Amino acid sequence: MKHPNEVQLALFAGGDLGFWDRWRVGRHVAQCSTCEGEVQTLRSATAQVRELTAEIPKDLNWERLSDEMTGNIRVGLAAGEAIAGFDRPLVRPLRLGWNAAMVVACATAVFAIAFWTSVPQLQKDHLLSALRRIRTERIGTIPQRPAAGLDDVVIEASSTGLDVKENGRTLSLMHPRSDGVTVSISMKGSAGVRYVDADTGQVTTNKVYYAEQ
Amino acid sequence: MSDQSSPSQLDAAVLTAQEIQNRFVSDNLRRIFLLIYRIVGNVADAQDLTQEAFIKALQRQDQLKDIDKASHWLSRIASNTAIDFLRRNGKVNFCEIDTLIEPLSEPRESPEQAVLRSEHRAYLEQGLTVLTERERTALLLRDVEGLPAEEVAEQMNCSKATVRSHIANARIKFRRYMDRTRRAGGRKQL
Amino acid sequence: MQSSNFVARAFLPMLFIGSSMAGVLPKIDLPKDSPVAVISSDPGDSSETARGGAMLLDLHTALTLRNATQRRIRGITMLVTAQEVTPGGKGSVTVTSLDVGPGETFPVRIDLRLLRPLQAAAGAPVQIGLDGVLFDDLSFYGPDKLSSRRSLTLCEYEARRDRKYFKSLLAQGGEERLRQEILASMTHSADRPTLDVQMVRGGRATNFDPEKEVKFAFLQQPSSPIEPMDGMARIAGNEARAPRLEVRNRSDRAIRYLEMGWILHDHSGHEFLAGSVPAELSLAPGQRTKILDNTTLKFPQKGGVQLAIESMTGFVSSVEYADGSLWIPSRADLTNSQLQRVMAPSDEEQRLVQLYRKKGIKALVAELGKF
Repeated sequence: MKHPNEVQLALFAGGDLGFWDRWRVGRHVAQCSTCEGEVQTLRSATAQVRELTAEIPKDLNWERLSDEMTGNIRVGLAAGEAIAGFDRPLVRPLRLGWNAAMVVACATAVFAIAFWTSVPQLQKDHLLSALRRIRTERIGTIPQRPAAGLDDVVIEASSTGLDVKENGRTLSLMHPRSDGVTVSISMKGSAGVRYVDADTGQVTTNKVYYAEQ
Repeated sequence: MSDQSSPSQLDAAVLTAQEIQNRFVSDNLRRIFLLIYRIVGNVADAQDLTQEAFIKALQRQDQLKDIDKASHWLSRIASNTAIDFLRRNGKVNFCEIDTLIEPLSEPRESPEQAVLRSEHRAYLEQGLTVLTERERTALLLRDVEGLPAEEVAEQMNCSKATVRSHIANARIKFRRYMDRTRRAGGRKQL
Repeated sequence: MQSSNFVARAFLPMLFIGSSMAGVLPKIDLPKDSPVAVISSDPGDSSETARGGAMLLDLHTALTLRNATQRRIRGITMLVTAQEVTPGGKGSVTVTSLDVGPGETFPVRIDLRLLRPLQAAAGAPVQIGLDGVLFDDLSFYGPDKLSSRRSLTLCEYEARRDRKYFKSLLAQGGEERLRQEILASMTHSADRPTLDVQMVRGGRATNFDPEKEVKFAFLQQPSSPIEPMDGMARIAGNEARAPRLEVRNRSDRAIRYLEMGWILHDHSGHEFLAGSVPAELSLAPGQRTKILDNTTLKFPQKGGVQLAIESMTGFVSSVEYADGSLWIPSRADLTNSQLQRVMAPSDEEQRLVQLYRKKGIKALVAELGKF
């Protein structure tokens, strides 16, 4: 019996093989106690990594650190509002009267100055480096989408997947990265993404619908 | 029941936004810090980067409306931030694949010392240091954060095949480390 | 009995998975007389992860189905629901251009992601059922809740049209002529622009651009049984909403369904196929009718560029007669340059192109020879 190699078993243990490889290796593992044991061991190791990474490092005072970070985050946000050049989100701004806006701006400036002059140098360094990076870098890789109301049913179709969103919850149909992905919309209330499955060669269309279907 | 005047529209709006922010930070701070810490490997940088990730995220108030997705989106920002940091400071090319070889040096702490100190966690942490930064990052994003391989590839800016190699190497190396220390120290498998 | 065997098989892989996923695996529910049987259901790397105050479910199910009939299967649509997450929404996974003989098996892959509250009800959050199966004689089985009979039959019509076309090229000009056509198809697909799109039920405005009424232009389609007479939609920046169309049945047969394709043009002259406007109707020969829709389409920014819609063109993409037969554009109709630029190839054409890319011209010729 030809055993899968070490790499195949490692990928199989985490579900990272393609469809047919996964099927082939799965069949072998179901019949071979040696390979099954190896897969179990690999999965056990992964479980221990997960367990480890959920724990705070030894000798770290988490309460103090989290308080410090929370404070720095609040100051960073307040200071960031007063610095021009940040990307602004596409939302309708809250309309303030001029007097109220002036009061808020002054209070923010006073608070920021008072805090800044009293914060320890190390924390200041942390904050400054964070703000500098934010100013010059793009924020994340999440596409910006116009917001729909929470009570709207929204369908979104893109080359990466399909979503139907309702009251803040989401059902998504995903598809693997492949060439020739085709997006389609029907005004009857559905959106589809068609692709050719790289493993099977089959043409597959995922669609999402909302209630009228 | 006393009749209290309702807060002004401004006060109510600010209070609500502040509450959302506070809750968002408290719900996610520990998880995000640990994710970044495991990628970059030290507390000071992890603190810096965690703050940066939250500041970036909270400047997108509209994204917080959908709380269900906000946490997932925050994880992406955090891992992107950590990976960018490694690229800038460690000159790590995530697209290079490390060959699967045994580490030349023995772990700093012998298995007997780890057993004597009864620090299962330290034993596991030692295992993570056996991995390269690429392998550790791929393993954390795939096996701990649970991101699909495609998304890991996108975040590490390399191909899916490369990511698979990193992940396979990481799992094999970690598993070999556990096997080696178990054989050396007669360590009880937990 | 079959379902209990299936349940046993479906949950067997669970023993090998570290985390307990039994509560979140999809429930697969096929009728007793289903023409397909589930041979296996592999949950793969499905996982459940807490994300702040929500639970993120990643469900990856690889189904292996067997044709339990004596007919050949050409297409199948599986229905995917998640009542607890999106009561009003559902999904489907359709596989077309199949050629599955009696007793043969084929895979269907379903990859889902759900975000739901941490305190969720017990039980499978996702249910998978069967909406329809189309056979080679164009007979259909299934509840057809998603109109899959019509869509699968349309795909089969297109598949037959395109196979016939490619075989005629092969007969007239040999392998080289066929290869040229396949390469042209690949070029068109690569050049065809794609858009991400968001659709919102209701005509509510969500941007601040001034709105204007824009009339449709229509492509000339002499062979179409439907003649578009007039049409307009409201356009505001990157949003298009509430299309209104007036059409006439110029054939001598009653029509019960039609679909109009909707092409958008932006200010820099680029064209995109925005979507289709379907209508269930009862249209006698010579009769006119109006099609009204209240949906909004939005096209988010892509590559930092905001789409600004300038004009629109409509065309007839399919018609269903009262007796259930269909009309689709012929290959000659599709040589219209505007349609060629925006319309995607049929499922079958895409499958054949992919076959050529992976295995070459000989394999493509052999495949065409099977039909």
